Amino acid sequence: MSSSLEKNMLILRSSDGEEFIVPEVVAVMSKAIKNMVEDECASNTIPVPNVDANILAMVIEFCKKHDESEAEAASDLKTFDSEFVNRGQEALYDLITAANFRDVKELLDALCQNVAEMIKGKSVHHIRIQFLGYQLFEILTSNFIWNIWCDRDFD
Amino acid sequence: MKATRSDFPILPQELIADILCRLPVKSLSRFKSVSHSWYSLISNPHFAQTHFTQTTNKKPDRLILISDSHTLFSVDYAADSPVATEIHFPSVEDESYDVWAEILGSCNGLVLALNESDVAMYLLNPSTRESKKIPESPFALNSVNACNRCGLGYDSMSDGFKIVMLSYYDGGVDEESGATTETNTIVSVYSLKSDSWRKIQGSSYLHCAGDPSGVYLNGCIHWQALRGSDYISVIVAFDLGNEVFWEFLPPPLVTNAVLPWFYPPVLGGFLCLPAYTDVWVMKEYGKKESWTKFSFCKREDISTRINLVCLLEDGEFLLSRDEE
Repeated sequence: MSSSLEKNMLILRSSDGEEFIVPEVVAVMSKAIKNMVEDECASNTIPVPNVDANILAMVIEFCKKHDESEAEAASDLKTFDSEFVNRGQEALYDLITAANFRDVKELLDALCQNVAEMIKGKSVHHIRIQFLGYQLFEILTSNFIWNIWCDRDFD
Repeated sequence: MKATRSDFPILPQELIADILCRLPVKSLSRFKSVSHSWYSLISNPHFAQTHFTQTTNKKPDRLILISDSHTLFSVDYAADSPVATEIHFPSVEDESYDVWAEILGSCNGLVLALNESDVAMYLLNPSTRESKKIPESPFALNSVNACNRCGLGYDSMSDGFKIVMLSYYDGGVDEESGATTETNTIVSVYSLKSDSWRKIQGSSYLHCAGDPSGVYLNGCIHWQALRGSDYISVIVAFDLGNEVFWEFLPPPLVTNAVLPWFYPPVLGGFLCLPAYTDVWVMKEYGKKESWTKFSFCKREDISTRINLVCLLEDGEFLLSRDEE
């Protein structure tokens, strides 16, 4: 397959073994991949561990859009970004982890902004349960004083 | 609340910081109580600095004004139809004390104001409604005998806010004791971090002219003053990092005239001086050659003095003028 690969195309392989053919300009929007390509330590197929096919497809979609729309109006791209990041919590966290790990700055920016918007008006209690669910143990065992804000909702 | 997944991905600390950096101050002060790690992250001075630079890349969009009834108002002038809303500070000890005489300075979103009731200075944060009473400077002189000037600024070297108090007094012979005193200016600096005043070397300028509240820009607080040696009107800058004074000349032709002092003079990061129907803008900070004159109106029927209020989008100014 790699022999018939067009020039300037790369294959990205997700953690669950699925392969995606993407233009090099799109793939190198990930700094981590860019470094691999520049150091020539990548063959045509680049493994992307920790990122499954589902998430990898989303990241590629985002990068493609940003690559194509350089000439497009910034407002259009903004609309695309805000729609793109508008996903369930689970996908959102997987995307953030992938964008962080693969160092895709534009995507990470859009995602962090989205999370900030999401949690801006939430109560402390809400944040603890939803955003830091995994850290509940830490919170419960810490001697931090639960103050009156816990039960108030800010919406 | 539903049970959460146990395998929730753990976001690395730098990502949490990145997200929190985008939040308004109001949310941040609330989220300090989420957990130990969030508390220490938000309280970190480095985080505060990053947060400030990130959020102030936007133009300032709020004015803090004092009404005739001595209440503070906030005006969001970036809105389509700006409305003035009252701001009250519940943290001021006594509710009846929430009256203000004068705004003495502002810097990085904080306001230094003089309280009408107890004639003390308060440092106010209009975003969080927090307030802090500033202890009186033990070095400042009574305003009957001296000219007091003050200013608020941020010192990046010590990473903290400082308030500077200048007490200028005229020399002369004391009629009762016969002792002679020399004209001098006592300079004291308050640091918010240590919550204390400190006396430093005096200033050689005559701080008796112009507006009493200093203006903060570029790590320096600026006042109008006269040079001690030849009585020429200059703009004196106090460098908060090195705690030294330096000076530059006001625009040509405005020298020696009574300067209609800036109010408020920093617009979009430039030092400005309104002069009747013109405004002088110092395009390159500290370079007197860069004073540039902008004429606002050619209309001859407007003879009253104008004041600059703020810089709007597209380089427009918002002006106010005194009605006869």
